Amino acid sequence: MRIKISDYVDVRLKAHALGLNAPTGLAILPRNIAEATTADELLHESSAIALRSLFRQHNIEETRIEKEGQKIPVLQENEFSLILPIIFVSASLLSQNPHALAIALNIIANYATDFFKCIPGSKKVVLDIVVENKSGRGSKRLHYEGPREGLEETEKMARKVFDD
Amino acid sequence: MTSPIDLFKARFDHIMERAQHFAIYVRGREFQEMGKTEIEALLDECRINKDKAISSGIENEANAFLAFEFMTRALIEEFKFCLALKDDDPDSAWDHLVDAQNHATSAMKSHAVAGNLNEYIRRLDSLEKSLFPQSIFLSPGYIVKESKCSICGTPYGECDHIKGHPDMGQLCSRIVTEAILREASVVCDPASKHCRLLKFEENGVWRNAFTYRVVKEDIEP
Repeated sequence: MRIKISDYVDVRLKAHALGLNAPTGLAILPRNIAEATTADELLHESSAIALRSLFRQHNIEETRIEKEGQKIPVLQENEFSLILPIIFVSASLLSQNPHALAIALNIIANYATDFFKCIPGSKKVVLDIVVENKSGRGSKRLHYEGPREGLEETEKMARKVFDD
Repeated sequence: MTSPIDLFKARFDHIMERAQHFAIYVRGREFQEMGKTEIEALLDECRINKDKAISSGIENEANAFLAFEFMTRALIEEFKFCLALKDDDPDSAWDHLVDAQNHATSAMKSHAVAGNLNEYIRRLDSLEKSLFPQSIFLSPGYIVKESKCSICGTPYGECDHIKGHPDMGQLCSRIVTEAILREASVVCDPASKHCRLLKFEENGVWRNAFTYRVVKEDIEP
């Protein structure tokens, strides 16, 4: 199985504890938000910045967890794989705008296609989706690691996790 | 009406095809030198046409000529690769081969005129696998504190340019201006194939990773 599902922190509570904005819809989370004890420790994946630009260009509304003027540094790892940021999806977004996640994942899949265009050899993509529970308290994490083509599965799985 | 891209492409394909006959290791050095010179002249033409398209604000043309430029650079690097092998300089040959691969990839990212390079890239990849021993690559991991867009100079992420995407005759890249090095890992599939181990120690003797020849410890091979 290429998708692993596990319990995840309550993102809203964690964001509040770190002095960040609590995400209300779709958000790009720092890679270590679950483990960080202070905001100074937070790091974004390097792909987070490109995805943020693409979401903006495609009018995908994203809740920035950074406060106005706050900057989270980016971790650059130069192994040839595409490590995507953690995508948070709130319960309200999944119930009120069911297509939003599919559109966002489509943008991510196209980005992955461009990233690996004409590169021979292995093309590993890593993506985490954090789905808020229906109650709005706590969340589940879907961890995907595999070829770009498998990204489509993550949307169905995220929906299933939410519905269950 | 034939577009400037189509007009140029017909001539470009003809010159590249002719030159590619000599980008094969066993061809005579004099033909490879000649092929390289001919392609360098073509590179100037690509640049002139790209600059014209940029001045006229025609983005599709500017990106197409950028792709032609990258394809030309790839073939120049392939000639340099052959010549370096003949000079018994595999370290330099490796760098030229990797540059040829990178330019071919950039060409495909720049415009659809370079959309048919998959086979060419596979060929370069097979040259790498068949001519060189498996390299040990190093991959640095670092925290980027500040970076800027190579096209507009604003902090990367604040503009709409995306790393690896073309814009008016330029491929966007992120220029890191402030970073903290965290670690360097040994990896099989690095982002940059230029980051590799050049020599290794065996029984107290340092050897070149490619030639196996003994190298002096204090001198770069």
